[in-house]
Amino acid sequence: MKETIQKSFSYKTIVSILFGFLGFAVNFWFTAEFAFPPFTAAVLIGLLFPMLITLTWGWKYGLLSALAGGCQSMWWIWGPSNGYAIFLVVPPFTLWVIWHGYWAGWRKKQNACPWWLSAYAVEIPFRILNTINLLTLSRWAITLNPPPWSWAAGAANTIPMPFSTFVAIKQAVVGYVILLLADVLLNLGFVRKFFGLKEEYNQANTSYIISASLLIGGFVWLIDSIISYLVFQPGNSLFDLLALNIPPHDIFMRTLFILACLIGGLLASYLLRGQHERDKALRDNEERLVQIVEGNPIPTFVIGENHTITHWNKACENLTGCSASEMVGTQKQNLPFYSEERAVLADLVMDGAAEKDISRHYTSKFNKSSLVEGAFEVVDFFPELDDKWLIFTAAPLIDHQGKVVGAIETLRDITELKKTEKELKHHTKNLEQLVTARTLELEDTNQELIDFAYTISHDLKAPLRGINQLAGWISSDYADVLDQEGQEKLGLLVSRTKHMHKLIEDILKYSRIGRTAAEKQKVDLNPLVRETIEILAVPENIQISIENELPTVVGVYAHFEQIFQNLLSNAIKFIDKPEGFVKIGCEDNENYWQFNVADNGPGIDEKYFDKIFQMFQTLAPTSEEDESTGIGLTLVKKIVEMHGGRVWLESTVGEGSTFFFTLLKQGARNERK
Amino acid sequence: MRGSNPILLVEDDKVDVMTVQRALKDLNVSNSLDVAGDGEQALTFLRNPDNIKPCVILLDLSMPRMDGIEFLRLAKQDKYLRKIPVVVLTSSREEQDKVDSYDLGVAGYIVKPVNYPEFVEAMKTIDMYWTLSELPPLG
Repeated sequence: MKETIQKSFSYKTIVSILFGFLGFAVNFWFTAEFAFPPFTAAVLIGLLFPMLITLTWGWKYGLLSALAGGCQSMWWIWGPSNGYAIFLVVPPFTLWVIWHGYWAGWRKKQNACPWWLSAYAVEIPFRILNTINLLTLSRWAITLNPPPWSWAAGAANTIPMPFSTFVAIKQAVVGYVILLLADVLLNLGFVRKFFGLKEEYNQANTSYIISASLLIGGFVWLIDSIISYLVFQPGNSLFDLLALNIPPHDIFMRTLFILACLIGGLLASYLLRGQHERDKALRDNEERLVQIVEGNPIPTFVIGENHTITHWNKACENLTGCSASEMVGTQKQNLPFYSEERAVLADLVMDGAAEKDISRHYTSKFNKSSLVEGAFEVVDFFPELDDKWLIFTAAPLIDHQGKVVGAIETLRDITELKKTEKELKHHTKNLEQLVTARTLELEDTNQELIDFAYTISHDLKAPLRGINQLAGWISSDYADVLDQEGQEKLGLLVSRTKHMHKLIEDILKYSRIGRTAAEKQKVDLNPLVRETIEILAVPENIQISIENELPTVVGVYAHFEQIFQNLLSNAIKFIDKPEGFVKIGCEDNENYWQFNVADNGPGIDEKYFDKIFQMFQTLAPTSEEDESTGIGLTLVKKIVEMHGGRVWLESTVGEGSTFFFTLLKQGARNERK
Repeated sequence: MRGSNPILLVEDDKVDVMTVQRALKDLNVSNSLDVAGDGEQALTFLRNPDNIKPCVILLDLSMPRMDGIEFLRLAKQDKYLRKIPVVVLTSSREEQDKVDSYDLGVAGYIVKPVNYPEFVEAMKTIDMYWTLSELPPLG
């Protein structure tokens, strides 16, 4: 909507003051006097000017305008005849300005105003108050006349009651006529522009209506004058009857006529405006709907009455290659999709098709749409549309009576998606094959390693055993030819072969973990640890204790046996105190068990914490008696990690070491990745 | 060993053969010892009617040409040979070897001890057991 620029403060101020002066001048130049024998109604037409300002710009400018002229003229004109009573006539006018001005300003801020806050309605309480004033206070003030000031010395000190009533009626009529005139004026386009008011719908047309009403009123005036001159009062001159000396009754009737015409015009213009606003809103809605459909990136078309296409959007043009101009208004919606004559999904949905009807038309997948009652969704292949795959949905369009009046169909090209899906399937299959091939390769490699270990086991052990035995036999068979030194050297040779044999056995043991066919089972660690301790032949100065109840875990029995055997034998072997102890404990840590094996041995320097878990790493020098190969802790680490746990230690040199390891509980996720 | 039938040692390693011979001598076992270098030789020896059937076969598993498991498979299919008890005498601790051996009906599985005195102990046990244990007629 176009809006005229709000008039500036100074413009409003100047216009308000000018209108005040104008009213003042008009009142002195021409006071309309209507004869209602025995009374005469004097109307101060000039008051219209400040009142118009009030109704247009609110009470502040109205008051300014009234003070500038309108009010003063009342003092001047009515003051002498009213005496004291003028103090009770002018202030109500000021009240009118503030009261109406306030509501006019309020209405301006609102978009819609209820009828009971219109100027005509808020006039009622003012008018009641004013009437009471006229009939009571004003009459009382008149009894105090004459006042001491000279210009009102002639004011009457008594007036008849009918005159008061007459004045009240006159003021009420004039009040409403002024409101009506203001309304008429403010409906005219140029007046609105002059006051800087918001342009209204169809403003020009309503101006014509009101002007025409006024013209008709004037025309009736003329006709009435002529008829009176020719028929009812042939003795009077035409000019007397027209303007100069109109009989009171005629002037009343004609004024009434003109007012009636104006009221009619005003009503007509309001109705016209309302109608236009509704039409425009409708057109806006329609326009918006077209834009929504048109600008939608999803191909969409709509069919209406008789299955005729009403909308065919840009995206639909692009998809089908058929333009809206050739499709809209026709019933050939099947043309872009099928070579034969048949109904499309929108047609079926519009005819209220049931699932079985749909399945007759579409062999491929279709679903009832969950979004709209009566809608369906179909995925199909269209050879006629360059081999496209489409997913399309049709929903019925329903009028306010619940009658199906059309259908909307949206289509999406999923050809690329289908292609990608196919490729993905292909790739997945390839990947599976690749994984299978790689797994086989890995299994082969693994088998090769197992075979290799097996070969080592036999091929290295057999000659070693040979050397060992031959050396032994030489030592015994040739005892008399060998001297002491020769015997010792042969002894060293034998012990070295034994050590090497143990090394080979340990490597085999290590490689055997994880590929044993042994089944996992529930293992109660309490008897297991007790048995392990018994086997170990613990020296008497060392106490081995189980600190708390050990859990039952799942795994290979021999593996757990190896863990405890290695940890305990290490502890026992290195204990250097006269009273040694080894303590075994376990904590429940929600997802896993945490075990600890603590001793009071010599302890291990922190810098060796990682090294001791590496293969063949021993901290003690190799001695004749010591058969350790440095594989025990490596073995423990491998077993623990195979069970999803980890192993570490804490130690203080000279005081002892505590080895910790965790075992994942059955069903818990691996803590390390 | 029970009776006077010889013992058949199927073994390719010369030192191991010497070890067995020496152990038997040290244990004063009177039975004679026949030696076959591999499975094939052993089968040929056993199927030769001129040779006396052994009272017990000491079998190495890892051998050239025909290994111990293969020999066992064939020997146990042969109705004349399958009654002869076979004791596996090997370096292998492999579980699979043990399983295969017992599947094929061996009478014992002994891992060769690395030093001689233990070896002698093992042989002594074998001798004692097969002295005590009754044997079927071997034909």
